[in-house]
Amino acid sequence: MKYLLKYEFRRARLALLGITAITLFLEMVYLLGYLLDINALFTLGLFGGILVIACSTMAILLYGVFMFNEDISKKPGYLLFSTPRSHAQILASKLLMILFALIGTSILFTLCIGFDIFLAIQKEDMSLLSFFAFFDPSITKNAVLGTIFNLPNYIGMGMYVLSTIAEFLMQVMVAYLLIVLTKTMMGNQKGRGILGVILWIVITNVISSIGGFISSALLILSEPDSSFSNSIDALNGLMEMLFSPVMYLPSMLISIGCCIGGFCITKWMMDKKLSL
Amino acid sequence: MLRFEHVTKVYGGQKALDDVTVSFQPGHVYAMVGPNGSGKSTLMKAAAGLLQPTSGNITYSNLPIGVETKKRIAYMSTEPFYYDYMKIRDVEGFYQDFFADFDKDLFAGLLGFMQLTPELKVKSLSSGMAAKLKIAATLSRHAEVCMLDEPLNGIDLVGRDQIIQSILRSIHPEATILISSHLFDELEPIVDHIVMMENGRVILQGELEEIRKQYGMSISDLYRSRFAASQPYPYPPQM
Repeated sequence: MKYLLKYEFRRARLALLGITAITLFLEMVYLLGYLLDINALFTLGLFGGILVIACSTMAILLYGVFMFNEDISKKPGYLLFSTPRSHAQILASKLLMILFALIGTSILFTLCIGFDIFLAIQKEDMSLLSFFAFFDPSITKNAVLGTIFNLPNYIGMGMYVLSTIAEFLMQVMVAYLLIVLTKTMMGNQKGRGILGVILWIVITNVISSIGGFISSALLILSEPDSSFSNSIDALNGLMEMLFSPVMYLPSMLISIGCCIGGFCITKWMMDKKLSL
Repeated sequence: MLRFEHVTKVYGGQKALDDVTVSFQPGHVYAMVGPNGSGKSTLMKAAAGLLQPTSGNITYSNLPIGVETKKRIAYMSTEPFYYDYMKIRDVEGFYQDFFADFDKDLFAGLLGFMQLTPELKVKSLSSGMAAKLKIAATLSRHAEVCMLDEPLNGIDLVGRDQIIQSILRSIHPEATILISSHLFDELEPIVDHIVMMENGRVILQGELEEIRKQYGMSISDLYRSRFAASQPYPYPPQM
């Protein structure tokens, strides 16, 4: 598996280096604008940074999907599929590469944003506590209590990130499944590419909607009565602690389930039907 | 022994292989001959595990084709198949990482013989150089079965000699070698068995000398007499 991953990364290194270079360039533009008070650079860096965060995620997804399609449709696939590795290992290495690329770029973005916040605090002579108070005024009322009772929010945020990653992997897995399906079961049928894209949009949206529906239902069930909520802050915090992270659990579990199911079906089709 | 039993492969309604039953013994060099689309490449790809037959069985040493057989069977396709980013030394690294039977000294020797240097980028190689690289890499595996699909395609005369020499110096006496080519005259000195295919079927197979004696002509003449005229072949397949 490690060699499969090694060569997946070697193939992807140009794309990943490109994302890293663009991110660092925009970060530099932002910092120059911020530190030298040049509004044009500041704005360019800020909006460019936001754009690159959104686009790089999409780029990783598209790159992973195109590379897989190339492997089972074009000649370089002979090299990969001639290796003494099972289809399950090949599939898993591709998913892991995408997962690691996503995690790597997320860490890069987090480091850049963290550095920007650190500089902002230094420049404005602001405490970390008052910085967080921008987002949650309750922190300033009682710093310790505020932090403790907002901890579930951070857990919830963590769950949100995990749920997003699981959904991202589910989207990649559905794309892999459809690529193999169009290549095997659909044979030489005309328009199979377009059909595959339409199916991908429909399936991923249905899966996301099911997760969203269950989460909404849970939110309604967990939301306390407003008068009760307003009168007992501590209980409200407790409710948040109990239920906020749970909000993301259904969609995360559904995405993971679909990922595992999609993986098994794709592997089965590759084992039984795939011809390069 | 590499064995095909009633193997059929259907692509979009067309039979690329049609009830093929044939076996390849260790220690022999087989020439796969037949016109374009006769099923030679499909047969090799099926043995390499790159395609799944529609029906029938393919086994090597009684193992179904899969991960285990890929460790012991080397396959070189007609088309270039290395990644564009690779240099020749990356190709070496790839084979070393994945194939325990890869001999890097043999590879270095074959590269030198074919006048290729490790720093060359695969993408920048001419078609002849790319073909030599494929051959060098495939032959550098001490595989029990080695399948070369059209190894002389697009190669000049000197290059063909180099390739023939490379095959001769790399062949393990116990290995099973399958070579498909339209340029049979040049392969004739190194092969000892023939498998002739047409429309996905094996129409003739056997030992080279026996077939020559039996039909009283060279394999090239036999090929011409069969495929130049569109008459049905008068002889039943030899099993």
